[in-house]
Amino acid sequence: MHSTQHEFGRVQDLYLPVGLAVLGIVVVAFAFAVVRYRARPGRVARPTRDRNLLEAAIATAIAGIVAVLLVTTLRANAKITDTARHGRPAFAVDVLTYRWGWQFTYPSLPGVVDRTAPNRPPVLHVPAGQTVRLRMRTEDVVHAFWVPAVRFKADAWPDTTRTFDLVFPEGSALSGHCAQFCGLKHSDMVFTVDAMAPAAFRAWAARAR
Amino acid sequence: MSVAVRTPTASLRGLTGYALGTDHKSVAVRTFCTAFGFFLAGGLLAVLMRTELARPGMQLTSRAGYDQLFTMHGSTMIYFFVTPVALSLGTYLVPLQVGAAEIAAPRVNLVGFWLFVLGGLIAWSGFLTRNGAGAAAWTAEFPQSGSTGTPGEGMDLWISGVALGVLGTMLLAGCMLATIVGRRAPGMTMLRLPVFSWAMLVTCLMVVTSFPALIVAMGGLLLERHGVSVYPGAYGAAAYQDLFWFYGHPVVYVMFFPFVGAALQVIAALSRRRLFGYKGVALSLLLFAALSMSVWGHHMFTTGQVSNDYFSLTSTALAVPAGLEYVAAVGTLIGGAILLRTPMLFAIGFFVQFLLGGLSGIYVASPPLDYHVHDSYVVVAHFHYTLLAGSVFGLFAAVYFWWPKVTGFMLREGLGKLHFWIFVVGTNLTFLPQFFLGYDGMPRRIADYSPANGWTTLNELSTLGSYIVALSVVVFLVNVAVSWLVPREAGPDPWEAQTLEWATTSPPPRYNFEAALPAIRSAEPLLDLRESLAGVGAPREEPA
Repeated sequence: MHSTQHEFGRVQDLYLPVGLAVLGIVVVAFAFAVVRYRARPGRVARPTRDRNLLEAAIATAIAGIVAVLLVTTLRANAKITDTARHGRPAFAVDVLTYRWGWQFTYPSLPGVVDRTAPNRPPVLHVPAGQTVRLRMRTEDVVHAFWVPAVRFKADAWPDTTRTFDLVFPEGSALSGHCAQFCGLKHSDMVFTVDAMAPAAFRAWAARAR
Repeated sequence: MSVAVRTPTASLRGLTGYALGTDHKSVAVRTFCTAFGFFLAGGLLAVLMRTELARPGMQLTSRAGYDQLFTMHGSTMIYFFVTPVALSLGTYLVPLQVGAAEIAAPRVNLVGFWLFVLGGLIAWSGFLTRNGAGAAAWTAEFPQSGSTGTPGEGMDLWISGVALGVLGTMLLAGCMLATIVGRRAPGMTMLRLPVFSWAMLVTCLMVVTSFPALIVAMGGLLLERHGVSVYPGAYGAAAYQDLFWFYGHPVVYVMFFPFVGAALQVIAALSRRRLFGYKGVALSLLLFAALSMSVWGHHMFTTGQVSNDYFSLTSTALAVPAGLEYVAAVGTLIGGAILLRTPMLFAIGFFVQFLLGGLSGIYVASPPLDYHVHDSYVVVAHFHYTLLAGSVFGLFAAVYFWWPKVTGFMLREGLGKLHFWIFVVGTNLTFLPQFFLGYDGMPRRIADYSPANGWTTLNELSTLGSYIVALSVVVFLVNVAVSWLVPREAGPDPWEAQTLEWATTSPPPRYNFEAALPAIRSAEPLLDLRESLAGVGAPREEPA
């Protein structure tokens, strides 16, 4: 099954080693140059010659790396954003953001509302390991829905409904946070996700209804 | 060859000179000192923020106070420190490097300086208002920055100050651009321009093409806050961000290129050889600047309002020109006779430390990765590695290198090296932990976090690092004071450098060159002169 955290992992598994390798090569190159060519008595600097072929070769090599990174990125991004590919979601959530809180309602569970209360972050209830479709709106400014466990965030945009699919790993208190600065209580605009195994989720839904 | 055909006027002295003097060197020094003052002020705000964040709970300020702290820290550093300080280097050095007696449009240049000062003071005066200073982050994204999201005069003052300051820096850049285009000495062709002047040329091109977008965005925001609907609904919010980031990304390179140029100039001079890949650098800077106009949407990957694939492509492609600049640095060092003096340490430190910012920039240019780390401390670490842990190293390379030219005396080597190493430790201790904090879920722009998050240790380390950065700045100020009180004469060319600013006295006279300029047959006329006197070598082959 497609998931944002899976795509994130695949892309990062390419980007991190490439980045660390480049970092290593450059640091070694500088260190070598400084140690080997440090001024000492008798050393005279070599005259500089243009080496256009070498420069072109290095530029081409970098462009090649960029191309490989981009192909991986664009493929993963298509999988994340193209909700039509994901098939029929198992569960749907309507997310409403406002200054400063969250409201989660569930179209298949009319009347069930999880909403920010004073000093108590709300809980988003979802089935774990299944595609959950979220539709998000904002009442006022831009907020952002971020659940680090699924390696994904999206902005709640004025006059717009954002739709995205997530697959939550099982966990009773995955943390969620507003990631877009929205004023005074931005720091406090948190929520948790209770992602339950299918049987536990059915039991919760039956109780909640 | 005579260099100046104009009637010298008596130079203005004292307070009048400070207010009205139009000598580009004096305007540049005033811009530099003012910007450095803003650096100290913005740095103080950073230390306050880090102190607040060291532990969960509120110890120092309120949530409203914290919002002002990070807003004014970011705005001060970007609008009133790094951008103007970068341009001040060029305002001083570019006319000298191209062999001009004066900058083009010196009165406009002076107005630019004053608008920058006024802008900064107006933005900071918000602290005196009832609701405090601007508190909508340095980006002031709408609708949060509207009159309901951020009420109060402090925000209006912030908008006006930023717009004025940015207009001022635009004027500084315009004068520099006109100087490079129209005031080069005979023989100074475009492909003999010293690499620092090349970097400034490209910087100024970006300034004059992208900064107007910010002034428009700010004008619209001010109208919007006072009852005129400029940014309505979904489209309006996106339009503000498009305008803002059309300025906001090029300005990142405005805060980078001048230091690339400075660091390469230092590396060439203190490796005792000509820059490797000069044309590659010029070409890569132009390519970089062109691309910089087409990457702004990568700040908007999570908005759903831009084509993420397109902006990911253009942003990742930036690795190619950036790579060529690194090739030039390493290629110049290899084969040189490297003097590890303080400017050289800072120049190499600039390239190495900036790389962490650059590579993490490639990482956040990938939307599937950015969906996780956007607006988290990963981004904070990323751009501080480009700006403080990167560009400011380049700035100090320039300061230690050109200080003797500007003041006539040297900064101390021992204190300079101490400054360097403390700065290395401080910046890495501050910003490395932030990569891990952000990855683990800490959003940026939060005043507080729960102890349950487990972020306390890394935050304490980061705060400790910020104190060490502050200590390194104190060491620098001590170095300035010691070198000022017990001056060691520098002479015209203490580094045996390569470009024309070293062919005149330190500091240079009012109209820059009293003696005839040496013949300009390459980008390193003083090296040509030295080699021809020694009877060795031939200048770089150059098409006429």
